[in-house]
Amino acid sequence: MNGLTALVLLPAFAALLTRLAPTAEGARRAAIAGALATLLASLLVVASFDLGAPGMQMEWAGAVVPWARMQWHVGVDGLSVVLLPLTSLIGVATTLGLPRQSMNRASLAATLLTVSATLGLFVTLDLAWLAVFWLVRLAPGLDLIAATPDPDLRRHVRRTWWVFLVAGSAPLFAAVIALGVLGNRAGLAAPFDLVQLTAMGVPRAWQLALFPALVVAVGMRMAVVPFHGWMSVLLEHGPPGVALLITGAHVALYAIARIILPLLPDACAVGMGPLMIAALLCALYGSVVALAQDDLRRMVAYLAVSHAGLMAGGLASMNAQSVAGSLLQSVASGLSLTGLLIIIRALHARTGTSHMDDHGGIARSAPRMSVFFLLFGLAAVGFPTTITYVSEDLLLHGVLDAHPLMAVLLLLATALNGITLLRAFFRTFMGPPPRGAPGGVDDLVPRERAVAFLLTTSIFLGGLYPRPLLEARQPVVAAIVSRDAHRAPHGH
Amino acid sequence: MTPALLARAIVAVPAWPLAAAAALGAWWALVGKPSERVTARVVVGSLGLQLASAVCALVAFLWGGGNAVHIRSGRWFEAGAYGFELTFLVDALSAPLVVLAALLTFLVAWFSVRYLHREPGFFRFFTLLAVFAAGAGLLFGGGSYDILFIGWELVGLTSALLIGFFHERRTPMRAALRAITTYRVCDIGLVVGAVFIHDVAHGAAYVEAFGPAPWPHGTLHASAPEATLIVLCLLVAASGKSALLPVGTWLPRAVEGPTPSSALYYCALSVHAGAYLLLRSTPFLRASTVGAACVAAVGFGSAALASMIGRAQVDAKGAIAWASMTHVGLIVAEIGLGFPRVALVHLVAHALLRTWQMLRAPSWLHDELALRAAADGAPLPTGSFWQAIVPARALDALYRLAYDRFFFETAQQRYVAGPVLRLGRYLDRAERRWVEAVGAWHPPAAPPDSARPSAMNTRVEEAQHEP
Repeated sequence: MNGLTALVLLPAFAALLTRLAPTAEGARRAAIAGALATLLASLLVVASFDLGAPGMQMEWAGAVVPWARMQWHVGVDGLSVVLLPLTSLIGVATTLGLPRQSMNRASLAATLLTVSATLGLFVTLDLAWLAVFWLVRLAPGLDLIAATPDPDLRRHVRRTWWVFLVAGSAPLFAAVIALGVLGNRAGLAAPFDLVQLTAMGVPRAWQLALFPALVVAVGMRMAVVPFHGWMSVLLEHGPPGVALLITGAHVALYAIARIILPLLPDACAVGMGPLMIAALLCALYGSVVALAQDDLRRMVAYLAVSHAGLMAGGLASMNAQSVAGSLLQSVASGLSLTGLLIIIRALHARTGTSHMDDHGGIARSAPRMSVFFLLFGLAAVGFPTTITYVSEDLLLHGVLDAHPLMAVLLLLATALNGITLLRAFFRTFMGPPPRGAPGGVDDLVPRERAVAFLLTTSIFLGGLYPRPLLEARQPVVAAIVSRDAHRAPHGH
Repeated sequence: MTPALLARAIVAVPAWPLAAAAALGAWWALVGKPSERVTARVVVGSLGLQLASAVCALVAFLWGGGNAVHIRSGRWFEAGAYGFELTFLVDALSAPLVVLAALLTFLVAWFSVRYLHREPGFFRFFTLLAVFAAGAGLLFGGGSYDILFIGWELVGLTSALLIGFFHERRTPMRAALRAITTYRVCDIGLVVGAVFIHDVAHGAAYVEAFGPAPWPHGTLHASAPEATLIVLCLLVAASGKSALLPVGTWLPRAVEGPTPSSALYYCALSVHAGAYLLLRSTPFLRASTVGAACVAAVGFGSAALASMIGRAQVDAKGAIAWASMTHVGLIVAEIGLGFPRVALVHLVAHALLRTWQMLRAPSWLHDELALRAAADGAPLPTGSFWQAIVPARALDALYRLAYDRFFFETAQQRYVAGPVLRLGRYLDRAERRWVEAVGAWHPPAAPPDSARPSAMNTRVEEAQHEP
């Protein structure tokens, strides 16, 4: 069996073990072991990957399923190979780092299944399988929402889930089916195969029809304005484990880079300009609303919206620096926002609230928690020596080359994000302790510390030595930019 | 050993304290908080090594006959045609300032070992000091605007964290937030300026932008309008960091931190960083009369207003802070008028004097009494010149304005911070309403906001009359 297929099945298998384990403690151990094994396996994949070589590696194609014409065709290139350890790392952070009380057997299994579906999404080269995984990622979460005690809140979260996430995937399905029909007409053996579809090319009229559908689907998942409503609901009220994985904008960004940009270049040449402006306005919108937040989880939700805007804007600018920066930003944002959420959940588990004004004076009783929150916060806003600084520097240079005025939006958004996070840090962790609870808060336990340390090390290592990450993506960036340059006389 | 080789010591200047900070951080994360003695030895030792490296660079510069040495250390990262170069520059501007920075940091650290003995935040203070020293080394010794920016950010962050050093109280937290907000907003100017310089000069390194001519001369490839735009952007950035009015009202509040850090940041180094930025950009100022005029106007205005406000202060550290702002305003004005060497000498002299004054501030009462004894008990004749010239009613009005710091902070709160926060809250309410409509959910009535003691409500009336 192909190594990539094994990687996808590993967390699913661990989820099964978690469900079947006789005791709760055994379930927890199985889940953590499964998550760590997945991380190790993904690092093995990265280690055997040839940086800088264009095209797919570790490809494996199975037989075509007769009636659905889907094919299990897997492979990785520079775009997806970095996302595999990222997803596994977030999976480890979720299973190991979140509070025990919120990570019961069901949550752990759901997390592992979501990791499995996400990894499948990244390695598959078949559009039908991609759409399936896109939807399947959501299924475990629905299961967990059912466990919410308050019935009104349960209905609220479930409805949000259905409307935004599930229904929001419908355009993607429509587009995939349309592309399958196209592939079938062209006589391809596997009509959903991405590699063959890209080589074949899509007619211009089809492109212009599919572009809005795909943009809506991706926008929903990435939480760009105006599709972002679900992010705050999910992070504030949703099940913690799965929320962490669902909010990853890197999946949506991957979809843009894998589907929209290669398959719809003509439509991109027309549509990316207005999209860039919309995305950067979204970034500014997210940062302004984040500034006004009093609840830590909602603040992170709107920071995620702001980041999503930055990433989408960077990709839409379609030059080498901004595309490279945008792809790197997805990694950076994933790591830093996960870290922030882990700390916030830890704090919530200890004090029962995430409201900033209900806290204070934590720096004295829980210095490690405070320091890690500060480091993750700095990582989220692009402080030098973090990986976000590299990505935002590249984004800025790219956007400024393309549209100077838009760069002002980007800078304002990042400045406001910085103020938001530091304000949150000062309000929550410093200052006098609240009147009702002068005793202070317990510091991070060793497993939480280990997770935070792991994430922080990745952020700073990536920040100080970003070369491998950028080199891995270089062929993809070059392909995107050259495709656009080829189109330029027709498009702009 | 050639001068060029010895000048490479400048790369070690930020490296020593950065290594010390990393080592201390790793020790804390993995083992536990080290003792005062270990912390002090590691940090002061690294700062001593930093000073030695800085002196080597200065000696190399002088030995080489005063020729600038440009050192390239490779590329940090690159994408497409753009790459981030790691460069350092030893020239007539950076060499003395790097030595000044290293010397003052070393002295203040040595002083702090005794001053902060038994202080619970001892370890935190020294780690932040080490990070600051690395940032200052990058800021003053860096060879491009990008490296300067990294040092600038490190200095800004450690500055805010040290203002909030006594974090059990509210006032230092608010002061720290004020500082960081001003820094973040004004740093937009630096980023925009640096990117414009990239475009204009095809590189942000000083030798690329200004050519091989020694500072303060330089050949520019920019037209006058481009130079004006760049100067204005850099002026915004310098106003934030060097506390030029009208955005500089954060500085007198920043003396909430421990005295040694107040001395090092707001009298010695951080406050002159903006002036250094403008000094380094002298060729742009020479190419743009409008820009230089703006710089001079802001400098003079800031100095005049700060001087008046300083006279209405009632505490020693506050008075010294405003005095520091006055002189920084004068230095910036000198730069704007086209006297960079005068400004540099003024900067060095001011840093030394003001640091000494601030370190002695806790003994201010002792000094004041000695001074009055020497004057036979009569009040000291400062300001009598102005009192003779300005009419009494005007003096009263000016005093009133000075006491309220010319309402700059009120204006900032009412016209800048307030509207942005209100917009954010309005958008948040709109968001909640439509998301709840989708989910058909009505949240339980939240407790009124006044029931929550908010530590960070920046009430204008409260803020105005705090020391």
